[in-house]
Amino acid sequence: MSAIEHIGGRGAAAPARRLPAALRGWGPAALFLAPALILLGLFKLWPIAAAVDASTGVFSPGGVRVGDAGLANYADVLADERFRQGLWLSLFAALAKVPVQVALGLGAALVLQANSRASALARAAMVSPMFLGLPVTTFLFAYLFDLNVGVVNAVLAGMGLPRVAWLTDGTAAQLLVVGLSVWRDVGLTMLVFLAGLAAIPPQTAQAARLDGAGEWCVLRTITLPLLARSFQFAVVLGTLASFQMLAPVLMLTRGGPTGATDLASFQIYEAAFVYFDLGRASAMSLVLLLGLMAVIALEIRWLTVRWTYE
Amino acid sequence: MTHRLSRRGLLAAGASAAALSALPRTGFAADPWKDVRGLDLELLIWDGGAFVDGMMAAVQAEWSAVGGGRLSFRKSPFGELDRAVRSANQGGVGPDVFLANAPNVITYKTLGLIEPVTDMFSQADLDDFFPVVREGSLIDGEFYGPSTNENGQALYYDRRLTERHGIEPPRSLADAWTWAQWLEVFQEIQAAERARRGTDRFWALYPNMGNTGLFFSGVYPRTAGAAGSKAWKMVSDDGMTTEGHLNSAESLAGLQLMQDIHHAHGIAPVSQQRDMFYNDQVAFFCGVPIYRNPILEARPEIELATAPIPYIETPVIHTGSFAWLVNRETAKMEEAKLFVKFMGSARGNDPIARGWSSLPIRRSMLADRPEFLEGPMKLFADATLEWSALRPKTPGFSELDAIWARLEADVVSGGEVKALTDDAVRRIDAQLRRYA
Repeated sequence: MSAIEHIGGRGAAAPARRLPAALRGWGPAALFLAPALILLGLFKLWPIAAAVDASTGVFSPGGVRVGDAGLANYADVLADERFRQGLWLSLFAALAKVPVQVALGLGAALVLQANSRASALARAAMVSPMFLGLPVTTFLFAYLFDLNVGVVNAVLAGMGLPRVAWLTDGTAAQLLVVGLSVWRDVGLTMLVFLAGLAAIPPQTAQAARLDGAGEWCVLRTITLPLLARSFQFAVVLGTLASFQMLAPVLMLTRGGPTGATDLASFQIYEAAFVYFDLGRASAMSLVLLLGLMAVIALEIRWLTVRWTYE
Repeated sequence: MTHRLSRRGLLAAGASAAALSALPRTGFAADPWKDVRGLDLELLIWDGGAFVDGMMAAVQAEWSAVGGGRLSFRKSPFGELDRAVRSANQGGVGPDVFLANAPNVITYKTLGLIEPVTDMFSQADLDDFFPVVREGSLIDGEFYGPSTNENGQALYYDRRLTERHGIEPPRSLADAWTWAQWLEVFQEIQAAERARRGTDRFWALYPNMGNTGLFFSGVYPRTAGAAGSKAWKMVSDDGMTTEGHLNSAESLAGLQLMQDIHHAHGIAPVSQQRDMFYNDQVAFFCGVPIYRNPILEARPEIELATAPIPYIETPVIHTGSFAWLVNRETAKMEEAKLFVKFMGSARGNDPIARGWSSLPIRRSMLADRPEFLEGPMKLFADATLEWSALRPKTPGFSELDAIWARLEADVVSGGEVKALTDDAVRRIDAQLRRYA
């Protein structure tokens, strides 16, 4: 006989007495939450706590903690003009990347909303950059955009346009790094919007069309407002990716030319893995994390969901 | 400090090596490997795929032949090798032996990571090593381990191309040209070839920058100073500052030249694509011996020749490669030291040096490598003996190299040389102070 059947036979008061103590009150919730909480603690909270601890340490070039720095690493980092510039560059990278990525992802999702074979192929093509190793794609970009022997400049020259120093001109290098990042991540944004579009009940748009609404009106007044959650998710994901952008900088520009792509994420990598200064790198990471949290909080506030289809 | 050995001396060394190599391998005063116990050893090595695996298989065969045990490998990508060595013992005792980037030997000694192996090498051994092999690992009177090979630098070119334009580049170090002399030739060849080919996508020189840090491009500021000058040294004698050295007037002149060849003179492409010589897009290619075979595979029709690299005031080349080092924490200290001794012997080094298509680490081994005794590859041996200089000996070499790589890229991109160099000096010195 199952427990439920047993409970049903004896009335409401009996089962509470028979449940083990661990399953009373908050017990069941804690039990079911435990696996997720343990994983969260192990892989999220503990590393953050370790980073906070490391950020107050002095580390030898061998990576060994040799003393306490208190808050001196934070003071150094915040006083470092290069790092402050890196934070601004990261913010500008996000401002450049996120709108373009969201617009392209949304556009692609709307175009591919029709569930045909061709759209499935196009979806696969849009998503495929995510499955190529980033170092490989970055390496290919370095060849494609080389000033002298790159295909892109060969095409530009063939069209009578001037060659562009994609890797050695500051603005061009910034565009290239952000462009590579958008190209790689736009497929994910498209999938987010495709999922959002699939969840909108078709009756809403059909009713509007019956009332005489055109396609543009449906898009503007029904589809886009009901995609608010998708927008929020896509913007936050894009912002996170922007602030963590590393491989294109590491492999294409190394922060150059003359600091044009010297993003905060790249400086953190350098501090930790090139200079082995874990204290400083941890302090930089936490400053970046706080900045990122502030930006995302603003985004969530601005993109508050006002309409739902529930 | 320059290292010079006359050509006669080189021949004498070759002759003595030939005599030595005629001796049976067991014919030394005593079997040098009698103490090898056959213990398994773990090596931290560069993950170079089949290229390195093949060499290590050959090393295993030779090591086993003298009674050595099984070698196992902990592999690290080259870019991560320094970090792997520094952290090797942080999760318990690491590998017994490190194969590390040779200029970092002083770093690992400073950090207390490696054990000297001075007792494994006689003075005759040290004298037989090429200069940089010896000097790079000699710190405070202790020797920490031999290199895997030597390199040398020279300009590869196709003699048919220079003959087409009536130009005869120098063939020996004695006839080497300065940058001023080369610039005229570079500009002449580039203009003539561009006209002949009907394209402006051809250049005189690929100087091989942008991907190897100090190895190639570090020569520019050094060659601008007199031997022993601050520009030539790059760092102070104690290895703790670059102020007044890397940003000295001579050094800045060298860095300015590095920029000018890409912009003002326009004889070198702003590109990091190293296959431009392989694709017949440049006339001269600054390279090391290992490039020879890929060049001949890509362009079998050319008449491959070499010329000494240009210099401003003092001829300088960087050479050296990886070094074999004993982990100070190993529980198999004697066996690890014997292994490093073995890798410093002719028998241990030969498969590695041949695998690299490079010079061996001992002068006495040159006799077995006739390709370096005559023809275009001889210049690499000559330059190693007469022009080679250690890369800056400082405990913060990898930090210096990383910041240098950015400086180099920014200079080549066209940035303001003095401002960039002063900033680099400030950042390098901040890192070097951490070793004080």
